[in-house]
Amino acid sequence: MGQLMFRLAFLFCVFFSGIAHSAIKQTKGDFEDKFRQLDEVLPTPNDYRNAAGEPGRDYWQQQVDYKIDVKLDESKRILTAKQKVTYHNNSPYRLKYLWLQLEQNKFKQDSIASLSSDFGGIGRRGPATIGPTSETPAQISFGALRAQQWLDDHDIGYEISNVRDVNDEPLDYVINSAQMRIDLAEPLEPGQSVVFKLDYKYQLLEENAVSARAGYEHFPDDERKGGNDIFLVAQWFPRLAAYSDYEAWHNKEFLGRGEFTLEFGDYDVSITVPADHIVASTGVLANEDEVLTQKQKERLKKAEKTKRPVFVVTAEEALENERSGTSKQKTWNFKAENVRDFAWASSRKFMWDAKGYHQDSKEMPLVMAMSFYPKEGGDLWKKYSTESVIHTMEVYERFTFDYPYPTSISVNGPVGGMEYPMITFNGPRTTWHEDGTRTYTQAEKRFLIGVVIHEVGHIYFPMIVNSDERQWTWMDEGLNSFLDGVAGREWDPNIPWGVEARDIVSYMKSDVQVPIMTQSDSVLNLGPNAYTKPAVALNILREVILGRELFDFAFKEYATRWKYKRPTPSDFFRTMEEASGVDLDWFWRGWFYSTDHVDISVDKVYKLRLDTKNPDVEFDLLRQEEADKPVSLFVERERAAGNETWVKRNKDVSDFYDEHDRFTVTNKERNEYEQMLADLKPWERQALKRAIKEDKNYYVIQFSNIGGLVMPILLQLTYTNGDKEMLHIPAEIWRRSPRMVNKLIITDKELEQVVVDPKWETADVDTENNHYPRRIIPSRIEAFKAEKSQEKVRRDIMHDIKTEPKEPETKPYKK
Amino acid sequence: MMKLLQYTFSVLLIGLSCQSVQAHRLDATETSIKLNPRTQHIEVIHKFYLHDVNHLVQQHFASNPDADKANKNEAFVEYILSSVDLKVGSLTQSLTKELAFIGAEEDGKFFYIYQEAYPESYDELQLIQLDLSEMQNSWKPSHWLFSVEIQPNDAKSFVLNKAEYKYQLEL
Repeated sequence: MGQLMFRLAFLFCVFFSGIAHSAIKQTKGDFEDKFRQLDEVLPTPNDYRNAAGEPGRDYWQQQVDYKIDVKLDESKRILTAKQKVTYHNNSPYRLKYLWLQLEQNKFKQDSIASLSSDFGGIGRRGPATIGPTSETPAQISFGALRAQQWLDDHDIGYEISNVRDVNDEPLDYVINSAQMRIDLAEPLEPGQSVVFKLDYKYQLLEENAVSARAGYEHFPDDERKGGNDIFLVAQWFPRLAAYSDYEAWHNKEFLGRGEFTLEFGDYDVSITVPADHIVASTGVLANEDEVLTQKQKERLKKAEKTKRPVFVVTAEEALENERSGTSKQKTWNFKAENVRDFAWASSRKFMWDAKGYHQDSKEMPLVMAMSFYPKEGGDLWKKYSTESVIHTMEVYERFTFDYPYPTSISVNGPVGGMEYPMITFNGPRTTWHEDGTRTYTQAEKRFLIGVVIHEVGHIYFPMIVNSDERQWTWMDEGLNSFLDGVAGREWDPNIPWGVEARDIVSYMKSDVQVPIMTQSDSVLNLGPNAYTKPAVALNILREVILGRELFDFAFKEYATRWKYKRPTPSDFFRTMEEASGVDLDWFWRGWFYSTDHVDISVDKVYKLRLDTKNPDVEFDLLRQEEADKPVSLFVERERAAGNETWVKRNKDVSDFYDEHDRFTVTNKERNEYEQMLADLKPWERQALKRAIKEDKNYYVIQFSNIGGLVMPILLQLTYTNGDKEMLHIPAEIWRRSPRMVNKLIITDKELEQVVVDPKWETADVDTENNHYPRRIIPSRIEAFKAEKSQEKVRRDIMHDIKTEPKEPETKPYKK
Repeated sequence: MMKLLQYTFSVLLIGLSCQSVQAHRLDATETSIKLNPRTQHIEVIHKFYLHDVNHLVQQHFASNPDADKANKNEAFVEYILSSVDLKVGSLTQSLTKELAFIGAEEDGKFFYIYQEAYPESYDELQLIQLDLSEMQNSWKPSHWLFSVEIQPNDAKSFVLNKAEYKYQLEL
């Protein structure tokens, strides 16, 4: 335990230096203010983002527009592009240089990500490696070896050239690992824009070899000579780093875990690919007459009003397509407005289905939901991909805002799940069998529906509500996991993506964790920390603490306030508190800023009795109390032996005290009582009189907080008459005594049992101490054994099987 | 001149499958190791996501077409029982407390495997040794949380990530 405390203390020092160095310290006693307001931890409100958690009156954000001509060399898997950038400086500050993120350079040997990779270290992404120990040598997996060899064999990262200004004059620039600084010829004044151009090319990564978030996947078994590829293209262009009011340039380099944050802008992208490829992309296809057949255009039109998805490219057409090939090229032109990133996919293997989603929205009444997938996606994708895209929009719009873009796309490729504006990459597939058929398991089906909901959900968080993924994974993954849990359960409650409180109990009790408020690349266990725990926390906030009405209003307020803007954690905390009208600082402090867990124990229940002061009542009660005490063993054994007491044997010797016990009331006590009543103030006399008349039961219930995390006490009271009652005691009961509190219950009924959190709604890690009187809760194994003992599996068949066959004994029978 | 320790370059190849970015696949397991104060048994409960189990069972039958499909989850149970080498014992004596298999069941979205050990005294509850080396050539969850509670109110826990195979915990 000492070690555990040390570690927690250490984590607090590291992650909460702001708190540790606070000028306000508790230096006497061990009181810890779990309800201390967060103002001193959160950044000071200002005119850019205010104390209500909304964009302030002077809120600004930059805008970056891109025009890109990109060409895919399919055989070499190289992208070559020319890019023109228009940077709008909406900040009140003068900029002498611009920073760009070069995420493709992350895979170069000299990047911070490569140089700082901890061999066998905790939380690494990609293929496995094992660090050496005193007993075993280091070990490297085939996957890690393959990645290393692939990277050795290819020239990785950007080759950037021709960095020029609008007048074609060269601009100075510096590339530092996966970032690039361009020095402007003239400082960019507030409100002004600057245009610059650059050329670049890079080797696309083989996704399955290097575990990137994009790249190509090769299909060597396709009939076409040399096979085919699916290209998923993302993080593919030098992108302007974010520049914000709270961090200026966001120079945190891409290390692999912390994802991205960019500026909103308009994109005009021309993508040149082999003429038989089908391209799916962020944006709207602006030259469909040049790249689609008449039949495809008609099918797309038909898809706008249809019950089920319509094939724009059918399975048969895709199969025919992937058998052949062409040396011709086509250029697809996509335009996208107000997006924070741009991704696309291309392959001759794609079939393509579409279905129009009509929403009650002036901004975007029709959204085309579309899916692109190879034959390997098969029936699984035909049935469920596009429908899952639409279901997501239907659910999310209730909690946020109408889907504001014209398309929402799901693409199958080598990436398990990844999100971009209007387009998502999703991995589940069917399994091929030797007889040529393809099937899928129920697990794969759930995986597809779940991952599509999750990734399309990311179009809301963080693609539109533009939180900084590199700093705070939880702001998009946690909020999105909370909502995909709602959407998943609305699709089918058995889908395994729910975020119930019980799902996080083991993790929260463990000591291998960091607070949710930890920068993405430093989180030890990303899944439970950034996905499940915040999602469960929000679920509890909605269902237990605020209730749906207050929570849903506040959550929607957050989403709409920050639509197309850049929120920080404090903006979320402040908005939820301000819009719900409930002080939630204790909740954020406990769930997001600490590693405490929930363990509330009900320790004792005391029954109290009102002292009427009336000797005729009280003396009688005392007499009864004495009589109810157990008889002493001596007396019991004397009686059993038939021994009579001296008093019984000598009844002729008696006096006054044999008739009057020590509880006999005299007028002396009665006079004192009457005098006491006469001395009472009128309101005191009234109160006593009423209490005596009502004759209620008074119970004091004692709770202790073992886990440290303060939470409401959800108390179920069961009475001897069978009645049950729920009492919701607000978390504030812990405010002056965070470890132990007492609650007075006054009732007409006799209390039989109390249970804390009977429905497991608060993530309480120990439910056994939630009962008073204590109840033996069988362990899972005990329950399993009890259930199984009746089953045939419990027979000793190994023994019984040795039984010799035996003729049954027959008895003569006569009618 | 500084003397350098010479180590044989001993990089073993292990055949873990390279998983692509599947941030949203669950791939997580919890094992609790607790002393039941009523029975004085050590109860070991492995809790897997059914989703993971189904994936592995599917792969197993794909690569073993002759396998008996009647008891499809048995293959998974056998795999876990044969590859999770968990021992409880004393610091000074050998770790003799092997675990008995109690059973396995599906419950909601989880799949549970139950094991027990029967210690005779607290002297046998000083050390837990875990060796998952058998899993080096096949599936192992990326995130495996072990919670240990032998002494009342003294919970300890550790996580084995996908490249970690051995752990020893003094209780």
